[in-house]
Parts: sequence; structure tokens; C-alpha cells
Amino acid sequence: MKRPMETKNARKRIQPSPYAKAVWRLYSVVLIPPCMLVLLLIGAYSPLTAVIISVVLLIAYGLLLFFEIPLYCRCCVCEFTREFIRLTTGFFLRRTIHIRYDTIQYCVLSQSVVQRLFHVCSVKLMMAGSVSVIRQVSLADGQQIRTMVESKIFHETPPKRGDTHA
Amino acid sequence: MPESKKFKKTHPYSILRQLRISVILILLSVLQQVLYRPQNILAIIGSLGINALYVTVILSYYLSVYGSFKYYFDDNSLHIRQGVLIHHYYRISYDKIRTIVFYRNIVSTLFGAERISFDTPAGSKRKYDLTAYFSRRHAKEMREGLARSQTVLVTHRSHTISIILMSAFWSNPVTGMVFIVPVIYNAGKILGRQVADDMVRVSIHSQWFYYANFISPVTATLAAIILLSWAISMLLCFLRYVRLCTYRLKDAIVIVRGIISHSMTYTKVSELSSVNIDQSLLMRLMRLQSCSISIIGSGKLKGDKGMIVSAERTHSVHRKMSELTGVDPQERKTLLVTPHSVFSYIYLPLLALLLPLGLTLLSQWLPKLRLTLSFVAYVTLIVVLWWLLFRIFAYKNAHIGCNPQCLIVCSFHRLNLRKSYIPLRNIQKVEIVQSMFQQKSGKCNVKVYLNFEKRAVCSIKQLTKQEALAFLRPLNLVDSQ
Repeated sequence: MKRPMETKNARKRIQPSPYAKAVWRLYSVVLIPPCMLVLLLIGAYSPLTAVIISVVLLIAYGLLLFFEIPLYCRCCVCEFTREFIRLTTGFFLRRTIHIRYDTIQYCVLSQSVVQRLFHVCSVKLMMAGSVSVIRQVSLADGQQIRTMVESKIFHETPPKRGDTHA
Repeated sequence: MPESKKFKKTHPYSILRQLRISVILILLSVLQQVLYRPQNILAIIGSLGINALYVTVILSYYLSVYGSFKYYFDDNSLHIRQGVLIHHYYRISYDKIRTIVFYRNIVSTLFGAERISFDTPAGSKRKYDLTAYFSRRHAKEMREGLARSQTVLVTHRSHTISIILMSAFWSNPVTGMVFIVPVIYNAGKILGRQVADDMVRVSIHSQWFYYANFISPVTATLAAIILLSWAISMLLCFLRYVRLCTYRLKDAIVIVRGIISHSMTYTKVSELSSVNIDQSLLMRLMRLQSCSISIIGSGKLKGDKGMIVSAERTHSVHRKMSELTGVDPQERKTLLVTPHSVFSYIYLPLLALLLPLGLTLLSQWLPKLRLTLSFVAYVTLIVVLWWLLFRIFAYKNAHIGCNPQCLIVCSFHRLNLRKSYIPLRNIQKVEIVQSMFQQKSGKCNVKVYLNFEKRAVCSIKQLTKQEALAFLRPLNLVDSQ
């Protein structure tokens, strides 16, 4: 299995943990009860409609579990350079976020119960008014990210922005 | 002097303000006394009953809250102690305070109190990080302390006529509804007549004729209510913004406005999140623009709280913005949206064109309602065309630019054309978003996140990704590789 962290040209690259897919699949279970409730309500008035909708939902859920979640996990990349953190997420709607270290106020490492089972965590980068989350990275990687970000925030003085304008 | 003795209490008006709701309950019980006319003391106690108990509990709670809230100022920071059961102790450094708002209305002025609110970038949940009532003498001392050793460099007073226009149209939340009033009124009149004449005549239920007579008066009343609420909203908006005056001190901006409720906002120039020039389509037709600033604290408030220039000609707005905020309005480099991408700007209005089309088709199927449906279809068509026109204007204006001070994003926000000057040092992050189609065509949408207490974004659609990255790289906003 490919190691999630690589170092190339002073650029660290972190991908979600191999267990990320399992965690997302377990999270997706929360979609089932509300769907069941809605189907029951529809079924009380029109059983045939409920059957059709349930078949469609089953196909959609299957696609989510075996197509969209692996695709999403494969597309998530977090890269650390000297001045920036670059997060790339999403397959259908690809987002690339460029964050300078000096704009990060602090960072939070969090673990839910499910994440604790798989030694996985999420790291939140808190900025003024917004937050960027690096999801489902392994705990070791998460701790490393946190240490790295905190060392950048508290010990290094980054160059002023706008000085390098051409 | 021991530290506990330095703490002072705020103005007692704080309690009165909290008791506003309880006053209604007391008035209700008095009304009850007048109408019910109790015969003996037991009946009086019974009628006051719950209300009196509630007021006593509330009063004692607010008294204890008031008693526990204490503060003092030292050379570097503001110290606050509050909490009845759990004590909180705050120490806010003056350097961290971004915005200070002084506010008073008629009632607080009568009691000699003024509300002072402090805002730091930390508090995103509450309206202000800290709000308290102080005596007017104390507030005046604080105002003088802030302005001390700072001479006023520039002053700008907005014209009353522009404030009236602003209150009537673009800042009035009911303006949109006012344009619908003639539609509602006329559609109701036509529908009422049609229902009474055509549909009910052939119906076997006679009471339908009775109900049909009510359609026109009901719609007329609805139209009148909307007009009245527009007028009230306009009056309130006018009273809030009239005498808008902006002062530029050495390193701060002071915005003063209001006639019945008076407010003064003090903020540091170096901490501006962005300076925005707004223009609705109506303003564009009148060749007017307004200028506002986004500051920590302004995002949580309703209305145009950060407005510094109400509505003036384009060249005048740019000059005044530059004088008041120190922002350079000139663009040294510009990147336009990709040609032939107008469709992504107008696809929503184009979809909305289906609505009048659908109404026209419906009028063919329902001949008895043809007149009403045709009228609504024509009006909808006008509204959609207005929207389409706005989006085309937005597309023609859309670009990003830069100068050594700031990034300039020219785009649209709701139904306003907006040009935002964002100081480079206050940009939080840049996000580049690509849909599946854009991944194929190499285009992208760029979102710039501001230094604000809640999520604030300036975004622009349909730039070429490579060009956008090449544009943002020298500004040190994206990764160089």
C-alpha cells in the first residue's frame, strides 16, 4: 500500500489514511434512518412509489459507497510548502485552496469515536472568519501537520505579502 | 490600590433595557385590572398573580447580572469581570480591539446612558464581543481619548437627497415588493372580475360568487399593506442614515450617522477587510455608486452599516474612497473573464424565461383565466429581462485587478455590481474551484476569503485557470509551483 506522506523538493504531500474510506462508509450509515422514515411515510399513501424510490435510493447508496467515496478519497491531497498549505479536494467540483501560514490563527486536531477506532483524525486550520479542514488523515500524519503548522505560526516570521509584486 | 477596588459598575440603564419585555407584562396586568374590575384584595392578587412573580424573578436576575458586571481600563487593556454563578474575567488588549461603536437612542439619552460595543476578530457568535452601557460623560471622555493626538485629515458629509434616494430604493428591503404592488393590485382586479363574471356564472355553487367578490378588495388591501411597510421602512432607513458623516483621522476612520438613534463607529484603517463600491442596476441607470467598508464587527449587523459614501457620481466616489481609506483605486494589472463565457453568467435568467413562457402556455389551456395569466406573464417577462440585463452588465464588468496595495475583484453580489478593494495583507486564503466542465475547458472560479468574523468571500467566475494562477503568483497569494 502506498505510504500517504511523501517528501519531494521540500514539499510534503499528505493523502487520507487507507482507513478513510471505511470511516466515510460508516458515517454514511446516518443517511439510512431518515430515508427509511420518508419511505415509510410515502409507503403509507402509495406503496408502489415507495418501492420505486427505495430502488433508486439503493442504487444511489451503492454508488456512494463504491464509487463516490473512493473517488473522493483519491482526490484529497494536502501539500505543504515553505509558505503555503495547498488543499485539493473534490472530484465533481474540484477545489484548490491556497493558505498562507501567517493567516492561520491556530489549528485543532479532532477525533470522533469512529475515527478513534481507525486511528484517523481531522485537522482544522482556523483562520479569521473561515476554517479549512484536512479530513481523515492518519493520527500520526495529523499530529505531524499540527506540529508543523504550529512551528510555522509561532516560531517563524513569514515574509510580508505584496512585497514581491511584479 | 487593590485590583478589586479598581472595578466600576456600568450605567443602571443596563437593567431598564433588559426589562423592556417585562414592562409589557406589567402593563398587561394593569389592563387586566381595568377590564376585570376585581372586587376584593384576593382577586387583585390573583389577577396580578403570575405576571408579578415573573417580573420579580426577572428583576432579581437582571439586578444580580448588573451587580456582577464590572470593568476598568488600564494603560494597555480593558478588564471585565462578569457572571453570577460562574465568574468570567476578560482582559482585552487595546491592540486587539478592531472596532468600537458608540450608540444612543432617545430613551438612553434621557437616562444619560450610551452603549459602547467593542469588537475583536475572535468573537464570531455574538453580535458584539462586549457591549455595555456607560454614562454619557464617560463615553465622551472615551471618544475624546480615541481622537486625542489625531487631527481630522478628511471629512465627508453625504447629501440628504442621496440618503432619501438610498432609503427609498436600494437600501430599503421592501423595495422589491413595491414593484410587485401594481402587479398584485391589477392581477387581483382582473382575477376577481374574471372569476365573478365567467367562472362562477356557470358554477352550481352560489357561495363561490360571494367569495369571488372578496378577491379584489383582499389584493387591494395587500397592496396597501406593502406600500405602507415600504414607507415605514424608508422612514426608518432615512432616520438611521441621515447626517452620514465620515472622518479620516491619522490611522482611523470614524463613521457618524443617525438622527433619532445616533451611532459612531471607530475603526483602524490598517484593519479594513475590504473597501467595496456597490452599484445596483437602478443606481447604474442614474450613474451613481456607493462606497462601504467591511470591518470586523460590521458583518454581524443588518443593513449598510459600514457605508462611508452614500450615493454619488463614479469619479467622486473613487476620489472620496481614496481620501478616506487611503486605498489606491488605480488598477496596474487586469485579468478579464474568458470571452464567450457569458452563458455561465446568464443561464439562471435564461432558465427563468421559461416561467413567462409556461404562463403563456397555461393561459392557452385555461381560456377563462387568460387575461390574468397573460398579465402576470408580461410582468414576469419584464422582471426576468431586468435580471438578464443585470447579469450581462455583471459579465461585462467582471475582472480582477491589482495594485501594490490591494487585490481588486469586480463582480456581482446578489443584485448589486460590486468592486472590492481587498488589502493584500488581510487576505485569508484563495480558493480555486473547477466544475467537471471547467476541468475540461481549463476555466475556473476564484474565491478570495476576507479577514472577517464570519465567512466572507469575494468571488469571480470563469477565469482561465493558468492565467489566474499566473496573475495571483506575483502577489504571493498562491503557491509558486
